[in-house]
Amino acid sequence: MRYLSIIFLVLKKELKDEFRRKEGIVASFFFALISLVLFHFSFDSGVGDISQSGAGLLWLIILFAGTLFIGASFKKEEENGTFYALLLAPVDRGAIYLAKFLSNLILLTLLEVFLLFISYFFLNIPIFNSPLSICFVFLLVSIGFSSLGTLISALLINERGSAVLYPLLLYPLLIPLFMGGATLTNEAINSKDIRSDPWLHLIILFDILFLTISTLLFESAVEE
Amino acid sequence: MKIKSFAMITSIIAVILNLFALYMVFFYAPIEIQMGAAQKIFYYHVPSAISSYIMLFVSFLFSIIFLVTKNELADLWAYAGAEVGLVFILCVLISGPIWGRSAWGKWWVWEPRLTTFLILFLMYFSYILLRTFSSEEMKSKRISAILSIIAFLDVPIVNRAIALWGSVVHPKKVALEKEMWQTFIVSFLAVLFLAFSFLLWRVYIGIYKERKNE
Amino acid sequence: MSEFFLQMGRDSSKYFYFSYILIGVIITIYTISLIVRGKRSRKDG
Repeated sequence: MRYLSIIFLVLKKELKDEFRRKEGIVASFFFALISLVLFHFSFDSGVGDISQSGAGLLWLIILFAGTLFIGASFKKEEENGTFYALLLAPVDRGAIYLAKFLSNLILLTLLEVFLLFISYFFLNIPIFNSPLSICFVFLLVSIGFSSLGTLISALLINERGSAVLYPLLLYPLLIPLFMGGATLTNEAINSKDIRSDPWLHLIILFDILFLTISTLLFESAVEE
Repeated sequence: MKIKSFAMITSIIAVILNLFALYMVFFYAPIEIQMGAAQKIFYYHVPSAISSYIMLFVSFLFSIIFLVTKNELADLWAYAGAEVGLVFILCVLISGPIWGRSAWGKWWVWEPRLTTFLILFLMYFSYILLRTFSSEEMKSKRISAILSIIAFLDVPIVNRAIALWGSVVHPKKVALEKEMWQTFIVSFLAVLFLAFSFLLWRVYIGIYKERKNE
Repeated sequence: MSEFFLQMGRDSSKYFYFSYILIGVIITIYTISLIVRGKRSRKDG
């Protein structure tokens, strides 16, 4: 119970802070919008129906836009030097990780809802063909993205060149997740049944594996 | 120094085995009827792939040991394993497309195992980048250890994902003649010993450097 | 299909040599880099 209440407390603090500062959210939402417009213009001539290949584009945008705030998860602690204060608190560090993870997951979900809406609006990607499957797929991929993203972000606290290193370290690890996301989203858009798809099992495996591993390894990632 | 004599012995064995293996590859092994001489790339391509997996496993294992015991020697082994693994990944990535060019007429095919090695290359290259950029502190070593563990656990998932993605060009079973098997076993041992001698020398150099810093 | 492979096979030894030369180059470069690093750390240490 105590564990859960700690997670909830830190999560509340995180979200409050994030919505007060707004820079992460505004930057990523605006980035998503710009990318969508750019993609439209770079694909407009001759490729044909963008709604067919749209899923892959959506995932690329989510990857890049999500990096903007997930990569900066520990930025404010780094700047204010409050990270050690957070660590000094007599709480389980796994709980701190899970709270950060959940906060990133919530922001990512908001970003995805926004992106899906504008992609429906601008590009006619038929997201309402099977909304439940789409929500499910997006949630699963977001869990994997947020779990590894938060961990790598914690690893690079106070590290030289962390802004450059972050995507270099994270993106190769995420390749299978995003391959699965793009395939499943395409299938869901085309109203196929994804429940017995092997990609779904793979993504679930990825989520469970890396959420567990990250919670366990966070302790040794931040200890001083 | 114990590790130095080990390294010396393994490298001598590796050199002898490699000369022997090269002789067998060039003169003893028969030419395969379908793919011709290009099939002989196999004798170093496949052992390099297996050796690189073994080296990455060494890195994974010693990363766990390092996180548990905080023993700096374990970190040296983990670093060495990843670096030598990367060298052999590079060998696979270079010989693979040449073989592909000869057998399929294309340099690069997005094919499960080849693509897996490309992603392996990306992951472990970023590991080496991290180690070169960051300082020699305890914290950077911990970061690297965690990265090595995550990357190694990701390998089977990457492999499965790419297998789901595309078609299979690599044969599931390889039917080889007796002479081919003999050549393969010798060249496999040769590459394996080469990898281990690299590993030992790399650790030896690391120990030297560590002592200098103290 | 097998005819295609047979035809490719006739001049495929150049690929064979090419790939062994490149592997040799990689291995040599890495060996040299190990030797250089070893010498340097010995000199300083």
